Amino acid sequence: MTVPHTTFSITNFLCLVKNSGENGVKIVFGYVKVRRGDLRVKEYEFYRAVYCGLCHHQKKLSRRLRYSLSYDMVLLALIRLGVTGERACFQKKRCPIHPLKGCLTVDASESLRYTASVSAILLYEKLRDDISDERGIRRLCARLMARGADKAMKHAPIPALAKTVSEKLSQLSTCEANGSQDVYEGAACFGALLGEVFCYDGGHILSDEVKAALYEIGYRVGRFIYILDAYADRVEDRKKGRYNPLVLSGEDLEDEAFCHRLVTALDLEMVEASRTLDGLSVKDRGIYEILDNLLRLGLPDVSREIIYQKKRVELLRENRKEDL
Amino acid sequence: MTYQPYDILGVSPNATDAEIRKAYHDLARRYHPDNCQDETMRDAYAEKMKEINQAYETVKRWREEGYQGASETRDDNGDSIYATVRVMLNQNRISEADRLLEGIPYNERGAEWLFLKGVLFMRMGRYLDAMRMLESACREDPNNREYREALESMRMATANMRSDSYSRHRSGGCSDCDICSGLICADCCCECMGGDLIRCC
Repeated sequence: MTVPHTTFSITNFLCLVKNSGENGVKIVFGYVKVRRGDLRVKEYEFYRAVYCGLCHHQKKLSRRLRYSLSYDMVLLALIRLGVTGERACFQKKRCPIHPLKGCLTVDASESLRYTASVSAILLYEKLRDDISDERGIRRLCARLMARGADKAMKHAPIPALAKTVSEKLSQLSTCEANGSQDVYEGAACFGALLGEVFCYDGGHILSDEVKAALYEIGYRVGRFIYILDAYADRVEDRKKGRYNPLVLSGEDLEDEAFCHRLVTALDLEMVEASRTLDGLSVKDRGIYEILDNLLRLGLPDVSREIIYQKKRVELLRENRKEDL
Repeated sequence: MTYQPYDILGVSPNATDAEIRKAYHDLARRYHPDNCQDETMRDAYAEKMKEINQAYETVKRWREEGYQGASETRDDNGDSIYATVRVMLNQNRISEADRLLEGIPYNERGAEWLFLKGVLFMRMGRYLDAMRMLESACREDPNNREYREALESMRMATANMRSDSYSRHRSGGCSDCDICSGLICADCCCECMGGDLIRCC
């Protein structure tokens, strides 16, 4: 199984939401991206290195877990790195995708191991659903992956977090089963889930203030992703008759005014998140810059890409115009 | 009528508790009969002091009662409900304000209702609904500056967020001027040492 390194991800934050059973292991592109042009080169290198480092840590837990790698998880890894102040140094490592060239990785064991465990938990929850709902090849795939997730969870268990995650997910599915027309209800559940994941502190090293800030950032990012995803899936969900709060709300989703409103509403989530980030003392300037870029520029860019269906080029052109 | 106690204190109905307390203390200091220099004015001062005290007590009572206070005044003036809602919003009493707004019958809901509901949604973090309400408020009453400014401030917040990170964080660097003066300095130094960097000067 050869895998292109950057875009392929069987799971990310998102697959979790789609537990309606129609879709199996599907390729979802991550919603969490940086705006590359606004990062310094060294910051971008660090960002890539954290991604590769995460890949290696996932491999340590279970080889199969590696295929669930996504950039979404890098946000979590970075923010944990930033607040714990763990030393992060570069290392050159080889992997099946870069067997000759090798790649720069960041080796910061605590934060990255935590992130890898979280991705195992999330993957496990998603696959458990798939196995019960799917048939045929997809079910087989899910079974194969689930064994990996299982192994990873035994390897580095965080039982408390696993319990919280499954509680929040069951809340989310109740809200979906009730057919709630309010997109903010599901968004709050998903936000709470990410919030818990962001602020989990097993070793009691984080102060309450920091934990509250982490929760807030996770909550905002979760809401952002949930709402954006509901919008991105509107057409397909309508066709297949799946649950989608935005479709149920009865608004004209293609209307230009609605699109503007949605973009501003999503931006406001990120205004809050980046304000919280500014209040959080991230000592490492580089990590702060990357996180700031993600929240303030990267995610809003992605929302524009999806909602206005703009190509990356057009966005770049607009940014360029603003600069002039 | 409803605004009278606020007028006496010289504050707006949506002032915070702290502002009202400060206004009251200032007035009380100014009009206290003991501070009166002119003997003939002493009675007038005492009268004024009584009025101020009464106004302050009334405002305090209204604010403590909140919801109940509004239902009392509701019949004589529809605007007073909105004033109470504004007060509650200032005090961050979201659910009470929401209950009050929902209590207004559909046919009486105007631009101000939409605006206040929008602000309420904003506080609850329901930005999508907040935008919708504020936009309809602006449509309903296009000339109202308050409504337009509220909507504009939301858009500005997002525009500021997305402004270029270089201008926000990295304002260091050097301008054209810095380069020129740097060169001239370097030239002077060179000339001191007997060399020359810029021939013409």
